[in-house]
Amino acid sequence: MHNQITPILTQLNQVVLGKSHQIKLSVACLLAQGHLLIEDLPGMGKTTLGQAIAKVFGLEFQRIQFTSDILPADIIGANIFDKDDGQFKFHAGPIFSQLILGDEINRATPKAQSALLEAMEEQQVTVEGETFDLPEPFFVIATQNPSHQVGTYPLPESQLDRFLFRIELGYPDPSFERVLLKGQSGRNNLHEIEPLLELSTLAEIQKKVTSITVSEHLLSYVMILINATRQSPDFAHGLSPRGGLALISAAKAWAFLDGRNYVLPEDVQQIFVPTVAHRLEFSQKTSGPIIAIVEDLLRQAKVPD
Amino acid sequence: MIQAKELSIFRPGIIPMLIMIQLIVLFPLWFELPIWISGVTIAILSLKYLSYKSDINLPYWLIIIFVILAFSGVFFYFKTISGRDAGVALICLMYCFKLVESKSYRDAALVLFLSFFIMVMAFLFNQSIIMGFYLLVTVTSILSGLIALNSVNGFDALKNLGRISVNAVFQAMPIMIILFFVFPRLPGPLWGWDDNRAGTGISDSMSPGSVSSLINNDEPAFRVKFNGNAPSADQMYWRGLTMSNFDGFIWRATNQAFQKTDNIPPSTLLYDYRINLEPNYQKWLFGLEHLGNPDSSIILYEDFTWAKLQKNSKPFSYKGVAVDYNYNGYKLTDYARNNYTRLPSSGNILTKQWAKDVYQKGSGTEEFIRRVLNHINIQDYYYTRTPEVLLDNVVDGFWLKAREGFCEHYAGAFVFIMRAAGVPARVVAGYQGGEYNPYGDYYLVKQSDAHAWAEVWIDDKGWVRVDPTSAIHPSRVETNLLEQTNRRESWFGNKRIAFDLPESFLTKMRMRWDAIKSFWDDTLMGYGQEQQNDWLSKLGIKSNQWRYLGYGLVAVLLFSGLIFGLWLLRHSRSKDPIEIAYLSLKSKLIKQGVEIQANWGPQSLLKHLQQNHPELSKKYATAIKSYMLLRYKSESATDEWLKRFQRQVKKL
Repeated sequence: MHNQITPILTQLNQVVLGKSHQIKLSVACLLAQGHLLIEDLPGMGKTTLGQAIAKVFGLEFQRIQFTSDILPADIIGANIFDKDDGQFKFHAGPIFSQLILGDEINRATPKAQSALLEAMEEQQVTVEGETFDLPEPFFVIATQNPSHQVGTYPLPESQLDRFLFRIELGYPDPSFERVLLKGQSGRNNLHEIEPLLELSTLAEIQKKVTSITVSEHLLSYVMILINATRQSPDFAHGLSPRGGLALISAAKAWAFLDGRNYVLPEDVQQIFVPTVAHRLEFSQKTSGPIIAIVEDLLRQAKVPD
Repeated sequence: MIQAKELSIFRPGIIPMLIMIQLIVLFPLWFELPIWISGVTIAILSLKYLSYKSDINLPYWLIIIFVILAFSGVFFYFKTISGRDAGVALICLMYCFKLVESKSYRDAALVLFLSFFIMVMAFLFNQSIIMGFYLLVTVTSILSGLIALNSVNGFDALKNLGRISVNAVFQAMPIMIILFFVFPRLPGPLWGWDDNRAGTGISDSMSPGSVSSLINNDEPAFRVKFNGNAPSADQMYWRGLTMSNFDGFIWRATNQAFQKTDNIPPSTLLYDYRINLEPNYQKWLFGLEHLGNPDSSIILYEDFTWAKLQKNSKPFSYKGVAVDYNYNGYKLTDYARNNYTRLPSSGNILTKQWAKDVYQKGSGTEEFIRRVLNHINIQDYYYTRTPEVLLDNVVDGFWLKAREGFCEHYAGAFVFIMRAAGVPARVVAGYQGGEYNPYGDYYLVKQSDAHAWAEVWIDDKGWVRVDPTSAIHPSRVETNLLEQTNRRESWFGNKRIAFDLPESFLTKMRMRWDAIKSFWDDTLMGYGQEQQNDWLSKLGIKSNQWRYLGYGLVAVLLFSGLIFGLWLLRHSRSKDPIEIAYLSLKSKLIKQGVEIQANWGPQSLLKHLQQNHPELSKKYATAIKSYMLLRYKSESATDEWLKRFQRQVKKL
């Protein structure tokens, strides 16, 4: 089954150049049934990545551009009066889609943000007492601008928690950038992408991922890491149990992508920073890039022998 | 981190426990201290208990007044505050006062550590085996106290505490055994032993009744362990001292000169043995005849008896040798001949005359001896513990009229008769016989084995032992003494009545118990400088090197501490065979110059090897992969896989 994923990764790498690690993380996120938050400056290829993933997995794709005046109804949909029937009828919003790309989510007001995030958490939407299930699979890729930018409403931690990963794309390598500038690849390839996976196969893979072995010994290592975040003076609070669960399911997906049916400490190490960094908050004493501090923590935690 | 505050001694049960421990520790001392001191210690502890129960703190000034009173009490009673008795009394009182004023954890800890010291003091008075076991109980209870004091649960967990402290005692045993053997021994006791006790056992004078008074005394006199052969019990005549000075009533030992080496006839070794002598508060020592010159700590006197310079106030162990002297060509000096034939000029005229008559009938000394013994055997001489009491002319009265007596009568009369006929003779006092203890492989000689016999000088044969009591016909021996006389050397072959009592269960138990006691007294308590030097010289350490012994001891302690520490470190961290094998794999890699980061899992390690040490990666890859599967793929964690991994690591 792992074989079916390899061409997908190859395909994606042809669209978004020089970002193989981030691509792999994004796919892992989808396999682990989590949601992805991409934080970067505008124009770094966030949207391209989202679209490419949607296409290659053959998912129904909707893009929601978050603005400061967007309303929850713009996302979820609303009951609108139908003249012909003479009654209110629910008009589904863009959220009723298998893959949502929420662009610049932190430009929207908290009310609109929480509409999306609640839907993500509950896999369903309630409008005026009526509940509508969201489609399966349901995968949200949200992008946000770095929070210091003008006109942003930073997401509260409780909502950041809903995202399995937060990744940064960053500038491409000069060699890839050169190819990009020639304009012969990247986004242009987007139209040529064909779905490589049946929806049912994706569901099977997702199921398979959950059954990957996590040994007692690996749990000891994860416990060491969790305790390290809780005991470190750098953070106001440590990793929550939900954060711990996220570590495990992400590590399983990573192990699957590596073609194993058991998790190694290295899997945990690979997904640790994207899983953990956005869930932690600096204590007042500490400042600086949080990723560097989390990486440091990972470096100091000993893998039990 | 537990604060000392949380370990307060006012937690329930702690103070009663401390009082209990003090009572246990003081208990053996109550029998040794003056009664009033024992009473005061009990009173102080009861006071403490009452004040604890009623929750009243005694005012400090009151305690100080009590302390001053106790101090002056000790001073006026003993007229000193130093020395063993006064010192022990004082420290026991202060020990109790310490608990009265205890308020903090620190005080309680001090009381408990003092308990160890007080406990050992009891050993200064009494070193019996029962005391040894009692000390074990005491140590265990003090340890329980320490653990309870230091445990957050305190007194409540006493069930566990007992087990922990018993464990601690047993864990300390190996260290105790090493210390016992190697800790440098002092030549004498730490504190002076009481030297002014009256002597027990054989005394240096013999009057009628002095030996028979010991017949009921079942106390051990000494125990003998033979190195190799032992003589039969009827040949076991243990010489103590000789008596050659007779005043008409009492035989006395005379002051003897040290034996000069050139006066010792050539000898052949018969028996080699070690005697463990009970304290008898006498200077003389006992040995199997004839006594050789065994040991530098023992003085050999002219009459071939042994003694040491100090009184025997504690168990004393010494080497003995029995030899056969060749007196061929040896003559008594005129002085000695004169000395050993001297009799008071007056009294006992009839016996003197009798002796001369008998001597003239025969030809020579040996014939004379045989005639006298024959006389005892044929005539109605009785062997009894309760003879007629004679006040005047005791030899005449015994030999010619009463004809009944105990060994001292016979020995005294026999020597008298010899001397009257001009044959040099002397009385020998000591012990005869010995009961073999199969459980300890030694002979026990009891005070009731005390005996007196005679020695007669025969030219070219030297001093020959003659036991006149063995000549008495068994039919004239008091029945309860038959067993004793049967053990003696036979002169006429007319006894040997079967007298082997079946060994009863009680006898066996008594022997077993005596064997245990003997092991305790002689091997454990008697392990002194001499034994230690002996033992160490077998290891090649000479007695003047005991400084090195000290260094060695420190080294052993440090080394064993280190080993124990490492063991703890290793075993508290990992008992997991997979971990042990993987650590060994890693340490092999480190020796090959691979730098391994702590945060590397097996995959990172493998990757690092492939990139930087391709030659090693080929060798190690299978083992590392096995480890990966074993650790992280749960269905691989079988014994078979583990063994395979261990083999792979071993091969690297």
